[in-house]
Amino acid sequence: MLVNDILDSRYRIWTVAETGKNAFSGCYAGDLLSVVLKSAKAGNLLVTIIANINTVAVAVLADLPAILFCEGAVPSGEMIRKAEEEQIALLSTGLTSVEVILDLVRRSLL
Amino acid sequence: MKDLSLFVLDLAENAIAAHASRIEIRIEENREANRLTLQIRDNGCGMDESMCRRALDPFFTTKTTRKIGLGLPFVKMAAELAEGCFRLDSESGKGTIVTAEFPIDHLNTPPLGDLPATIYTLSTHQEMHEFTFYYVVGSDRFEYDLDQIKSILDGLPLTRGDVMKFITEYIREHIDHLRGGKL
Repeated sequence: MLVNDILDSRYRIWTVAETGKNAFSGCYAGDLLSVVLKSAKAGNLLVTIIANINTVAVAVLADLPAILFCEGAVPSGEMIRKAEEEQIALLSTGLTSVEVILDLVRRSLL
Repeated sequence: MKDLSLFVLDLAENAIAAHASRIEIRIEENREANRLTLQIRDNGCGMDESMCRRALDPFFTTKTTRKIGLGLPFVKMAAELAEGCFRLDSESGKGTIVTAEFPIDHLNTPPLGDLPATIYTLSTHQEMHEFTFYYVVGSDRFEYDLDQIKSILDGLPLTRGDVMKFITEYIREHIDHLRGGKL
């Protein structure tokens, strides 16, 4: 699946359009970044409310192609810049993580 | 990270990597001020002002094996998520002091975790020449002195595992006593 497949009126992409072509496979939802680091699998979409530069660093370390910030959390300029350098897509939504996952399953993206 | 003991371990390992021979760890509960303070001081190689700023950037690391360094950024983030504060004081050639403060009653304040095992592990690290640990609650404090504890055990037919178990329980009981409850 591609990051662009997620996008509709409820989701916004913050990084350059090119990152919308990032492919992801499965997803990991979590807010404790050390646990994300340990448990997320390479290629997963990360769903979290933690909008922090450390989240981008964890995505780099765990080889995650995209981060979806939920419940209205949005990335800072520094995070967007760093994510673009690392070719990671940053998205956001007002939905909760459970709503996101249900939505992605319903749309056969997971 | 899940708990404060993991922060302690990570920061102390940073200090050892910075060639510190002396590390002092102090955890203080000030219940009147609703503050839990974690402070780690070392006499390692320290950092100048510009290096200090970069040390809080997860994309900066002195390690050559990976390009991300999450130790200090994770502690800073944990303190900020709990509406506490974080301070990094360092002087090149002299050492570093890392201080993180957490409101005791904040839901995002991490639990202490297995502090006794962490303290024992660090105090027996082969590169550690001088290690001090204090747990302070109000005007009472527990000071960990490995040599003193070992002198109690001197001559007893104990395995290495027994010694570790005894010492971690010793630390746990003293901290429990100070806190007036189970660690």
